[in-house]
Amino acid sequence: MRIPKEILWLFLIFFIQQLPLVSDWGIDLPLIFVVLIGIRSHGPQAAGWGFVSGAIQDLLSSGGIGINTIAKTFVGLGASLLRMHIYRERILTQAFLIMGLSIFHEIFSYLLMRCDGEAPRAEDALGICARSVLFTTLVGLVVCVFVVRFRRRRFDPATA
Amino acid sequence: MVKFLLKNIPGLFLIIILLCCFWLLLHRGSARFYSASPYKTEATSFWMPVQESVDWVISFPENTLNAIRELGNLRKEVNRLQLENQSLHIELSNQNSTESELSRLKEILQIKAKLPHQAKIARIIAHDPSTWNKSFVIDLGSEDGVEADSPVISEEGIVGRVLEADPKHSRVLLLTDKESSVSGIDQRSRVTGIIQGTGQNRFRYGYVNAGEDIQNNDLVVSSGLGGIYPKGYAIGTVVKKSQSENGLSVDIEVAPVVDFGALDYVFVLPPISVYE
Repeated sequence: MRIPKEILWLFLIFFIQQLPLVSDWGIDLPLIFVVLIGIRSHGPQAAGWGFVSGAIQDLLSSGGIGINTIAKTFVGLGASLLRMHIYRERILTQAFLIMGLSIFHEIFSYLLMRCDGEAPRAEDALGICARSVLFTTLVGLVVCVFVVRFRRRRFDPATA
Repeated sequence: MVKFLLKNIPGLFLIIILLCCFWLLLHRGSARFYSASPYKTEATSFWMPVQESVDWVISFPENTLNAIRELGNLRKEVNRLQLENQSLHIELSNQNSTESELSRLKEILQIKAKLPHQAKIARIIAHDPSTWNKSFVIDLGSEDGVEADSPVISEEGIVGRVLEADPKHSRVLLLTDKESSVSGIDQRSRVTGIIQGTGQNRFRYGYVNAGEDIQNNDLVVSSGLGGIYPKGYAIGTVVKKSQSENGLSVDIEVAPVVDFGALDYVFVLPPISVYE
């Protein structure tokens, strides 16, 4: 029963992701989606969502298929494993998690591209990674504020 | 005498009234009588406040009732006017955006007329969702005559090339993508090199010897070599020049002349093999 709602979210995310300036600024909305799903799901489910969103991203992109798929599968898995060790309903915790997994995602993608011989020069890659991590974390922070507030209002109105 | 007067008060009163009428009859033609005489002014200033007060007291209930009756009508009128105002705002905003779109399209058509080759106007419909790749999708495909490796330009300069074309849409690889490169030439000193995308909003001007005359703000244009991009289209301006570590070449950074973030329409030229 939960799947259709998340598929709708995924559609919305990719619609926004393909608007001008979103990916130009390095914002990775599918990554935020995978992290937020990952911290509320068990391992295989989180990895599945990571795989699906990464595959869509690869299919809609001009780059080779597989880089985002693999990286986001591991991001989903990582987020799911970390949920046992964090208090997941805290905005800052979620934001730090998005930042950490975004760094992991960018490094992992770069290493995969290096294996394929598609990687840009190290100084260019550093610039791309830094911008992506920064803007994804900032946007992630805003998304987390809304998600936490919404969830608190829905599941724990007394503290909302 | 007094007794007589007291007995005939009504008669006296009648006589006084008749005398007054006679006096009025005599004076009614004079201008002074009709103009603002001091008597009239005095009388008016004395009487009008009384008149107003009485009038207010008489008309108060009627006015109140009318006001209450009108209040409902006014509320309806305000609601109607608010709705009308909103719809007019929306209409105005739509008209403004249509006007700006129209002027933009006029500009584009003027530019298209000036282009030396048969260009097709395409609208950008989606950008690359990945942070590592730079591309976008346009609304023209192979059915419209777009082929792979067709150069894509804007009014400012080179944008990129068509990577793949399906019947309805095509994917354009931007010049800023790490996989893109184009042969460029410094417009001032005619020094040639290879412009390479970096994945960021900068190009690298490679394969330029250390001693070559390249200065900041030099415009780099396409040289026509390489078989994809036609000659003479602007690529970018030199913003930074530094010696490479081995001292044999220079590292040159070029800023694109095209604002890739602000693009909405582009021109797709036929592949260079068609006209060269």
